[in-house]
Amino acid sequence: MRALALALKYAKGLFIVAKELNKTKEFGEDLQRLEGLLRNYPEVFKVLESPIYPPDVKMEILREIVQYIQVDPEVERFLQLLVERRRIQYLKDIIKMYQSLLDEELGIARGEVVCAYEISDEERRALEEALKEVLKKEVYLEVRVDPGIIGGALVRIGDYVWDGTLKSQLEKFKEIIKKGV
Amino acid sequence: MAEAHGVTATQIKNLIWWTVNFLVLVLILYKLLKKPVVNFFRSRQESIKKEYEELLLKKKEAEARYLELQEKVKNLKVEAEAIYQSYVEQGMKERERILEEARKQAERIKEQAQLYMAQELEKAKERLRNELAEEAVKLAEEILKKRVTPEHQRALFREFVENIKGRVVN
Repeated sequence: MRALALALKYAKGLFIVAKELNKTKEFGEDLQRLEGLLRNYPEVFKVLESPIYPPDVKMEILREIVQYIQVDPEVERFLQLLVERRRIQYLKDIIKMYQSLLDEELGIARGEVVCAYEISDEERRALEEALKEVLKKEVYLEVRVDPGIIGGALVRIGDYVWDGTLKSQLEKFKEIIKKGV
Repeated sequence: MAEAHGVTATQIKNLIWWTVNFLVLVLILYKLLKKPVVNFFRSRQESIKKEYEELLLKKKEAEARYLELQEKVKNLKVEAEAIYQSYVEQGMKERERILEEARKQAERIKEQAQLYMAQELEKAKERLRNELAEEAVKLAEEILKKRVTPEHQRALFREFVENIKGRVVN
């Protein structure tokens, strides 16, 4: 809980700076690239979050990363600040929080759609459009395939859930039989 | 001669003297012993009389007790019969009470058994419904997994998208 509160505090700080510089989107993209790199190289993040390594080693690694993914100097300073203040272990949460703030600012809703088969981009866009109409926001969905749902789809965006899977319909059918209705 | 055959004057004098002594002794004894002797016999008479009266009283009491016991002996059979009847009545009442209690107990046991049976039946029904539901859904799942084609999948997805369009979020 404290970690999330700290992450939100730093994310808000960065977001305020980004807004002042009118670079909220750019900062978001930088952080997305950074997040992608950390996802692809989890051992790098392990070193950054580990208390075993001293800050100067972490700073060195960070410089390498920043050079590789080319981020805004302000973002670079922010990352250095995290290392100095020994808060770099919260980086993933900070990025997530920043994206949430940015999405809120830009009127974007992110979520996931679970399907029994790999849907096409066209189908995904059609669903995003339909959800845009409902939520009055731009919707970006990540697709996840789960044959367990048998058919249909399940969408989760924040607290909202739209469940149109055959699996859930069968579960409802099961409950009806159990209750003897 | 006179000395040889008759009573001498000395002898007569002695006789008179002894007689007078004797009479004086009798008189003295009479005077001294009259009262105590009379008193002794009188008290003896009274105590005997008292004893006699007491014995008479005891005799009367014994007779009365005898009569009473005789009466009791006469009534004893009746009393025994009454006691016997009383015990029989009590026994009958107790028998009725025990039978009534047993009937109520049997009724309670029967009601409990019926309730238990109803509960068990309901549980069995529920178990059966659950098993049926599980099996039916499992079977339906298997059939659907085998028979749902990619075309069906796409159609289901389109239907889902169409359903989303109709929704309103508060």
